[in-house]
Amino acid sequence: MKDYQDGYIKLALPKGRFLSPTASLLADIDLGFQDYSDKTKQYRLRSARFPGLSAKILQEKDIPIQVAVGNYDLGICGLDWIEEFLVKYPAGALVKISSLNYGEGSIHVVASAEAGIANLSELSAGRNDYRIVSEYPNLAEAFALNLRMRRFRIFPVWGAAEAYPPENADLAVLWGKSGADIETQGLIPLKRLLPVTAFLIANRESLENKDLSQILTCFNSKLTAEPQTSREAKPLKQRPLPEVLQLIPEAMARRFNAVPVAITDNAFQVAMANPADIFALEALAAQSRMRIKPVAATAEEISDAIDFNYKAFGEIEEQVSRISIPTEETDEKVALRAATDTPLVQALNLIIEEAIKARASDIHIEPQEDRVRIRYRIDGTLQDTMSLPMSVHRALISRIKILAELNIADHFRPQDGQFSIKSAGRPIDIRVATSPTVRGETAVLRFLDKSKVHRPLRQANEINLALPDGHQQAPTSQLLKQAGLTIQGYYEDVVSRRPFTDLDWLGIKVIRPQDMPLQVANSNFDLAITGEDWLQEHLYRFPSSPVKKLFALGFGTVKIAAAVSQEMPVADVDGLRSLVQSSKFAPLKVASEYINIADKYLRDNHINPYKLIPTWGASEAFLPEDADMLIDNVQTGKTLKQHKLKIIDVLFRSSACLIANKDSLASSDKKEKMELLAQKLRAGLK
Amino acid sequence: MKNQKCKGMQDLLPGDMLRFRRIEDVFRSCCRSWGYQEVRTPTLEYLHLFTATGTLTPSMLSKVYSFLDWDGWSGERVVLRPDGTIPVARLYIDNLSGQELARLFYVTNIFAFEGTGKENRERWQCGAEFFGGAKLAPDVEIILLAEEVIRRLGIRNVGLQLSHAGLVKALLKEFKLSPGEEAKMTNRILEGNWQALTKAKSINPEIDRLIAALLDLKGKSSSFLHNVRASFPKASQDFKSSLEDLINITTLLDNLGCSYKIDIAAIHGFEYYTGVCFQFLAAGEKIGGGGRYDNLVPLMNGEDIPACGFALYVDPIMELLPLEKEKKGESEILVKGKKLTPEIVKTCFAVAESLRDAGHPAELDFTGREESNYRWVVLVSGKEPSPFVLTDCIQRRRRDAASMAEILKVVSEG
Repeated sequence: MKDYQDGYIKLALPKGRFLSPTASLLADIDLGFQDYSDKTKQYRLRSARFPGLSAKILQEKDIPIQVAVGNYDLGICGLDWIEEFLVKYPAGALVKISSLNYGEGSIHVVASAEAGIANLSELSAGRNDYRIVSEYPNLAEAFALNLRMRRFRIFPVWGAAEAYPPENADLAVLWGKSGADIETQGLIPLKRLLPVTAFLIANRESLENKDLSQILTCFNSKLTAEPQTSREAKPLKQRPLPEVLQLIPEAMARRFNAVPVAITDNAFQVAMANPADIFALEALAAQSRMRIKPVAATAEEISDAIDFNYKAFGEIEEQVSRISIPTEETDEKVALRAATDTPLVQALNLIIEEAIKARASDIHIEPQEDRVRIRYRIDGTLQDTMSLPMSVHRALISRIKILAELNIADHFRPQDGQFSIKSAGRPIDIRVATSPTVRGETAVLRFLDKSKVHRPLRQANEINLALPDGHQQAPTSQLLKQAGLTIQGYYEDVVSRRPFTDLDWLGIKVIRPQDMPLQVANSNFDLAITGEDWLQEHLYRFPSSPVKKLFALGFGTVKIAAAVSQEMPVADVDGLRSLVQSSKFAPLKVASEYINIADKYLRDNHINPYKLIPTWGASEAFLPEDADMLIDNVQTGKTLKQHKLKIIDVLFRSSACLIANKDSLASSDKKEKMELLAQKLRAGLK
Repeated sequence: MKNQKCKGMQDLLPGDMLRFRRIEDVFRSCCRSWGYQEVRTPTLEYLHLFTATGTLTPSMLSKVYSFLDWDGWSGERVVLRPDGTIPVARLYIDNLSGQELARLFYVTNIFAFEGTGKENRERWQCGAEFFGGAKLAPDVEIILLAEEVIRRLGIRNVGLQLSHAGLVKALLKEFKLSPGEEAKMTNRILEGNWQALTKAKSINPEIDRLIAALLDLKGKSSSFLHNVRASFPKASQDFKSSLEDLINITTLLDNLGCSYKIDIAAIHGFEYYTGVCFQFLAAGEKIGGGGRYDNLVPLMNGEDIPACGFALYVDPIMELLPLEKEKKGESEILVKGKKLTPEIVKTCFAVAESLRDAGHPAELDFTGREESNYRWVVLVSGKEPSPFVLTDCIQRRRRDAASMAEILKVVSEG
């Protein structure tokens, strides 16, 4: 089947999000594909420049598998789908050649604000059963296992992962443009797993045996090494951690145009405008007493970073120096007066602000022998941030106690309290715990950022309904209107994931119809509108599932059909069986979105041996080169004809339907309302 | 088209099964005679039994066979048992926690994915666990029990290597790493990468010396450990108490005449060890290992019960036993029918049954093929007065026999 001498090279190209930038890259390097654009109706392309080079346009998710299997020599797709494949099959036949340097956003692990998870170490230590939802179940599982999470359950979804937290999931692994962007959706980014950039990948055997050099040379101008880990991608000014900044005073940083970045492997990484400046290196090394590892940066970046980072600590020190308490003074009243003085108030505010900037979960203020030590807990570990003179200790603690309405006069008992501040316009709750020690009272301030919940905390809804997005959205919203249900945010062109309804006992989420049977089965939803095909797909996998179909809704009718190339000499499934038995097509490669329906169909019809190829839609693109048969939904049959395919069997007809969770139906609380809703929908069918 | 067995799986043929059962029989009989009782856990367990820190290493977790069960819409994954000890600990906690002491043994298969497909993905283990036995005597008991099994199987030149998880952990602590880095270093060591330890420089040069010494030298008696203790007086308390523990164990082993090598790097694979660890090597290959794991039961929501145990790996041990063939020549008897008449067939079955009742394995044959490898052949001809012809295959003599009793007499006298 593989002929390395024939000079045919096959390239897999993505549709969807990377189509435009990839098309312009290919045009740039002149690979000769004229029809690769989002308007094209063609899946198959031939290169006008290289006679042996052909390409096929596939769903991005399919590309890593197709290249690994050897159907394609080269492919271009996003790093997220590549890693989703590689994390499960590391020793596989897929080789990453290089990043193509375009792409947007990253894959993040996020938590819902309500889950109360502030950082990763809480997940490792936690004993809860965490529900993780993701389009990338392999990445999610690898993350959970590496973090030694004890109990977790992964729910793979076809999309809309952000819709599930907080009610239906505790964590999600999803794409986000940036950490800030994720926060605006009411989610907390816990970890950035990988950046989403387009990559050129190759099949290992092809690289080892086939001459791909002409094509690879074209890509050369765009080839670079794999992007660095997340550290390097952050802008310079956001990278330094507080304790690192302490090592080099601001004056020195400005003089040498250098900004401390991090401590790695016993070396001090410093960004410098002139990394070869030996005087600077010597001075910095002497000051910090560490080996300096210079990292190049532009003068602009450095001055930006100095302004951003040093300002705060300098300011705190300045404010503190303005607090007028003679060191020997221990008078209560003096301390109290100072506690309400502007400089101290400012100093405390700045300390809190810096902690928020550093994404700390708590602040520890501890008196030592000769100074007050301030530490931030970042990502689970306590890090030294700054010290203040001992003279301000009493005043500082008093200020905190005043804010938290604690007893200022009592220095010998541990106390607990709470106060709120506003930071960058957002209200932040801070929990305070003070306790007495030999050297004076310590205070721990813990953050709870309430504003991260953008919606009012949801009451648990009595009934939860899932509505489809995509093709099914328009006819479904039509039906709902006819049924007299007012739903805001679903009928419009821009659909919200959480539309509002006038029925206060009903909660609605908009998710992908493929995911609905599973979500209804595990009780996240009581009712859902999906297709009979997806219900059947779920039931074939989980025969004892608690989902049942209430009734069909009459729209979105399709045939689930088995189709082969018109060239194949079979007219029906019996013919196919004989053909497979005669070993001409053994194993029979069957591409389908409906893996379980396809599996059952092939087994029931005694077609043996076969190999199933999961796809994410548009299975017709796979025939005839990459698969022999497809099982897919067919409406008019026009697409199949266009691709020179013919139907040899119709498995069943499917339309939209209303499904319900059997246990919810049986429960006395829910039964009535569910039946009410069902009746309304039935009425709307007329 | 050829039927292919599943990649990474092995068939055990009759010769293999003979060796397997021999190992199993010796193991079971030794365990029972030391007071151990047999248990068996199911092949499927929940994944979350193995995910917490202190159970399997992340690298082992990446190789389990896990899948969604039939009711997996709730997302709960099950695994094919990847380890013998953790399920038995679960069995003990769920069913036997009332017992202060429990000595249990099992013969079980475990499953771990392995990339090339050339290694076994299904492996058999003979394991024993001692719950409730506090340090020292039980540690030595399990070592001696394992040695007895090995000895009775006739395997020669087996080396015992000792290490101590507490020592290794105390050494790691000296590096003062962050929890994340310490975990990474622990994982590397558990996978056998000790270079990681020598590359990282600790703050204290004495510790570097200590590590170099321990990795370099292989003591053969408790004296070695006494020397270590004397040479590094500034070691931490944790280190000293673990060292003390190992000294006590090795002293007892010395007194019992057990020979071993102390090799700090003999700790491999399991995160749950807390005390002494050991492994058995034959011809450079590991044929078994074990140790003390006092934290496992409490980690699995059980009481604070100390525990230790070991497992012998059946697959490499099988390789070390000579391949036995069924010794047909010695005891098997072939009963043949001259003709396929119902009378003769009936008589053949009756003859075979009588022979078997008398303790002789008897095989039937009606194909008329050449007889070979049998001690005796009984030909049922049905002719009177002697319906049987008895052939002695060793002495190559033939005689007529008139009755079943006559046959039995001749055969029994040999």
